[in-house]
Amino acid sequence: MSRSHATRFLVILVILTAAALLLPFAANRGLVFLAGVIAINVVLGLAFNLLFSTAGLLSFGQATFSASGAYAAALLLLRAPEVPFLAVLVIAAATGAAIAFAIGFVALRRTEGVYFAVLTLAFAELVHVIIAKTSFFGRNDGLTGIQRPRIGPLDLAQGNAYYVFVILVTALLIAVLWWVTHSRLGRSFRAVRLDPMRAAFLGIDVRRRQLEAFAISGACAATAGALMGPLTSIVSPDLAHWGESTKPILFTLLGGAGHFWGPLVGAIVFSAVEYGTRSLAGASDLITGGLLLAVVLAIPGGLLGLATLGVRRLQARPAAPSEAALPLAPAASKGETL
Amino acid sequence: MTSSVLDVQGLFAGYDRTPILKDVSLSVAPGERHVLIGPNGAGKTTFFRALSGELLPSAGRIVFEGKDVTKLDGFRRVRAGMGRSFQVARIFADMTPLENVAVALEAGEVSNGRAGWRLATAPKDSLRREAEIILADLGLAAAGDEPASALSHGDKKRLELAMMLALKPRLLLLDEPTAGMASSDRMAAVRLVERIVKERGATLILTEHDMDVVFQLGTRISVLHYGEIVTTDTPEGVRANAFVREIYLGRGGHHA
Amino acid sequence: MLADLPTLLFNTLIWGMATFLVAAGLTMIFGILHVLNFSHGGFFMIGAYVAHSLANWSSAMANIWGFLLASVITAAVIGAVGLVVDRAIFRRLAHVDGAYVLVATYALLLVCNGVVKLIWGLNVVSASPPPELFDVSFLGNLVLPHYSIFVIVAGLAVFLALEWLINMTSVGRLIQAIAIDPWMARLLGINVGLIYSATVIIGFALAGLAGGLLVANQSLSPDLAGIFIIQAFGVVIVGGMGSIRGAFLASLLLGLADSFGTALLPQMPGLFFFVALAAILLIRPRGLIASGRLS
Repeated sequence: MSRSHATRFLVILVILTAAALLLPFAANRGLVFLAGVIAINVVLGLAFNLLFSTAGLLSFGQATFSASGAYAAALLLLRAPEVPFLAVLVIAAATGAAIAFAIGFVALRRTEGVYFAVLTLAFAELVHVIIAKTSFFGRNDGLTGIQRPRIGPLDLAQGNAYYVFVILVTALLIAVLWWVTHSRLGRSFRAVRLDPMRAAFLGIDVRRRQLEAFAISGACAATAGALMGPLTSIVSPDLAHWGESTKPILFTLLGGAGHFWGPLVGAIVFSAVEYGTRSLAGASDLITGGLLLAVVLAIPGGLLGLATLGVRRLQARPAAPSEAALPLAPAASKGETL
Repeated sequence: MTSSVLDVQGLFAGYDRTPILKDVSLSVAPGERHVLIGPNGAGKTTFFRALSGELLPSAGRIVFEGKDVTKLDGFRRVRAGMGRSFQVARIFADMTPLENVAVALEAGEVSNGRAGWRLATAPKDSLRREAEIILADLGLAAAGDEPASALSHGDKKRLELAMMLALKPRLLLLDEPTAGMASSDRMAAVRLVERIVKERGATLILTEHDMDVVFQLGTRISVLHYGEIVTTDTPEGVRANAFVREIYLGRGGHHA
Repeated sequence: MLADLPTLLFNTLIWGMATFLVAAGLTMIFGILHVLNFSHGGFFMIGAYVAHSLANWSSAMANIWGFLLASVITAAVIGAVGLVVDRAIFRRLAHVDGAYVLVATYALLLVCNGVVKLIWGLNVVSASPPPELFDVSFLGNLVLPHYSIFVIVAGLAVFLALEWLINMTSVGRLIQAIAIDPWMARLLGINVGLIYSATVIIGFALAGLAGGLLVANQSLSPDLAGIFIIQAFGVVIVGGMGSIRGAFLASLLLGLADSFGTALLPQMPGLFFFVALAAILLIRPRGLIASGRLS
């Protein structure tokens, strides 16, 4: 049963990757650039949802990880161009994991939903202040002039080469996140989310599992963030601003937190809305906020939850416990106040 | 001393520096089925939480199989060989019964360092078979995609027992294993626990309200009163104890 | 070079009381509804902009009484908004998981930011305090702007008023009863829904009042909400989540960290607030006053 589960995932991933790789033949440069940004955002959303829906941790500081990856990669590309780019990505991942571990070590002292969220937010702002005020990180101006790198004989600055690279790396990251979510490790994360007390009395080290989830999420977000600099040629402190931390949350809730692909749907739909309303300058906060509020109040299962529900209704099967109800589970389960 | 499975010496424990347990000492021999009884508020639950590691004591010592576990967190005591159930069964409601037991088995492998690396996402076939055997042994169906939340109250309790047994504990701590059950289910549950403890040669400590269960299952009984152990004796001895009759049976009647 | 001690302590008081003014309403709402309201910073900011507009349209800033009146009107306006938010949003979130509630209030903060950008624009604006508060006094080396003294006094006054409201009045006793055990309160026939609404209105009015009183403390921009809400969250967490007294102490403590830290490391303003927050939580994960109820 679960082998077919994995097959289904791989089929979807291959179709999506192929569609993304074919995009340059059908769309203009601007849309291809946007698709690269969306691919990175998809990983950020999935990394957030690994914490939120699998491990039951609401992180309001995901921008710290993506920004730390972006800065690590940008600094290496600018100051140490001799380091191969694939090694740069690995270093960026390690940086993200290390920072996630350090923040998690303190913040996980209070894991109950709201406290943890605010602590991660506070630490994200701490990192934001440090980046924006330190000359090593280029202060408020950030780091500019980041070139698209070479990988051995391949020059990623040529044509759509870098876009193709971004799509392949994000596909790999998506596969890693899927594996973690569904593996033995992911099952123990879910156990910790569903009932930390029960998990502990099965001999599971709850705090260590949570730290691992945090570090994995941080590493994936940082790797995705590392792809950003060469794409846009600049990294700025805005990447670490708390507004960036809320984007993955928005993607996840919009698409449906209870579904693995929820954040992907959310990132694509949100980007489409943003693209469609780009002429309404200054209204972006209003649109983002209004959309998020509408989702939480009206469709807490997100778009995929709504779609699943719709399909079920059409099939008119007796109501099984719907997956759409899942997103409410993370902290609503017994464990929350323990 | 070393012949006992569990040794509790001069234990003090409580909440916010208000001691509930006062100088509690207890020794449990291998294979013993030790029941903690006492009126409501006597400190049974607190004692239970202190034994399992949910609550760290403020003074005293807890020695399990010769090893001092006083300062160990709950999960480390589980790894040392203690198992615990809860008054209201705690299971992973969104997972199927089979997944529940599989998670327990996997946790056991990870704790023992036997887990190894594995690319496939599904639980190992050997673990799956083991889970099916445990579930069948306790009279639970392993098939189906229904989440455990759909189980009846009694089945949830049995599933929790199955998860606990998956870790092969040598000391079982059962917090009111028959709470909330109808009287017919109660005796079935007692027989199940009795069989499992005998088959596995495990030691049992439980709290219980129902006097029929207490005297059916217990080989030794400790009576808690205002956070102190008043007496530890055989069931017959406890029955005959005048002080116990006065504080316990005399006042609240049968179900204190 | 470390500035002199009296100046640092004075800065502590300014930071502490300005933050407490914002955190007070946040603490109230958290203590009773257990909703950590992100949008509180947004409504504080809207309050500041409303007060600024009142000052522009009228002669509110002509004297201190006009200024106070403008602040009270702002408090009433934002309190009324609170009534709407309570009906339209908070009540619908009563049975929703905490994570979703937090995200909803964050969404509301974004809406507040959007409203400010649409109505008042992106430019930084500033207001001067009324002439009575424009002066500066000197005490030895210590420079004492009257407006700063006013902010400190206002913070103290709000603290004392809330202490009085919660501990001395019958409404306060009802609020406390509900904070401790809403189920029991309902059993005793207390109209819990009404008290919830009243708390939200008071909390929002406090945000508006803070916006009005602090309008001249800093320049107004759409970033104002974010800056203050994070400080106020820190205060509420360190204070022990829902304790007014705890929030008051935490304001002073974090203010101390901020003013001494900024003196030590002037190139990184604001850094020590986060450092102190982390340090305090490592030592006391449950905050200063870990009661979990309003006190």
